[in-house]
Amino acid sequence: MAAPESGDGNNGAARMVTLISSDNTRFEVEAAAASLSQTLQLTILDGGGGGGDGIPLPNVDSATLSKVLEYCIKHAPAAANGGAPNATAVDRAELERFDNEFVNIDQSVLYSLIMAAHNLEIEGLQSLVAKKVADMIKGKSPMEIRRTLGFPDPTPEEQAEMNAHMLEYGWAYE
Amino acid sequence: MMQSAGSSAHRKRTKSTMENKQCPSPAVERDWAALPRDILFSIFLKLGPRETMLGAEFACTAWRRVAVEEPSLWRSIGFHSIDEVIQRWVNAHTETAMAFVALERSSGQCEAFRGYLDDEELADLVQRGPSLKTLDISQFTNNEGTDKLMEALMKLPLLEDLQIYFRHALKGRADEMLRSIGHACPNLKRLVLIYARAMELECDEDECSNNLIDGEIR
Repeated sequence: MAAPESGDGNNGAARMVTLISSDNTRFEVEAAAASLSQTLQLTILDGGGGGGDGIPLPNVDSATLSKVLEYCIKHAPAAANGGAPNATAVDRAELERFDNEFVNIDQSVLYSLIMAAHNLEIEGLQSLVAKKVADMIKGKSPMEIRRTLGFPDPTPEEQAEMNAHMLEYGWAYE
Repeated sequence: MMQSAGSSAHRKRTKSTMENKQCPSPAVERDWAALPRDILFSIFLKLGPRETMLGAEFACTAWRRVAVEEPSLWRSIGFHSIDEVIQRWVNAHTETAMAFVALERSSGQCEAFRGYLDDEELADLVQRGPSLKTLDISQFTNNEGTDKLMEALMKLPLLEDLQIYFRHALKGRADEMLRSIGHACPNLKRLVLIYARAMELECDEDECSNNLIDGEIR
């Protein structure tokens, strides 16, 4: 099955694909960028997402998808170079600066981003957001973690289980 | 409607009017305590064993389960940074106790271990970590010579990287010990032996301390 507007990005205009968010917004993006998603890669390789078709993403809303694609577009050139082994230090520093800035976001946005990165299997983004959450809870006590992330109050059974665990390994409360 | 997420990464995109049409309840949508297991797994991997044990695993039961039920979270124990130690100091005894709980959770998958050990703890370690490739005994309390050490090393056939700081002066000859280690660990690629400062040490200290040897040792 041939793509309606093919081209591998080497010659002429880059091939574009259309992604459709859960709230029905259409995003047109270079196939190379969308292919950072393992979930989308096969569909795109098969020629999907071109023309008027579009690939529906029922689990990702438009605000999140827009953010995800911002990441993909930025990282696509380096990914195309096979992880950019010959990238200059300047390029790498620029990507790092972008990444740091990228996850400097509201906690609810971060949550949506984590779920989307996971659904779409975008490896670099999964790693980036996991690192961000780890940094957010590093050095915090269990109570501080609960507060920071707004956990719901534990049920009595949960509380009992946690109490037993704390008794067993009490070092968190030295 | 069509939004372009094309060539310009920084272009401000126009807000879609449909964007807010279906906004699910945030309380249900964003329950961090109920993150899918593999996402939590990736977060705990970034946290590392020590941080996980000192905070995250006590945050809720779902998080705790991931911590205790995923052996591959515990493949590298004791390799936290000095900053992490300073930030949350626990006494050396507790540190060792935590390391051994982590080791237990690794279900034999542990590949790298760093910590303070004596003969007995070392014997326990090799029992529970038969797949160790990296072993860094930051302080080895070698009260009874090196026989037990050699015995332990024989049980780590995959060992590639070994570093030991001996707290007590060694009896016997260093070259013989090197030979014994070479026999015990045929896959060794890097060996660092740091000797305690001791007046009765017979060998030349320059030769032995920080002894870095690359390649096969025979």
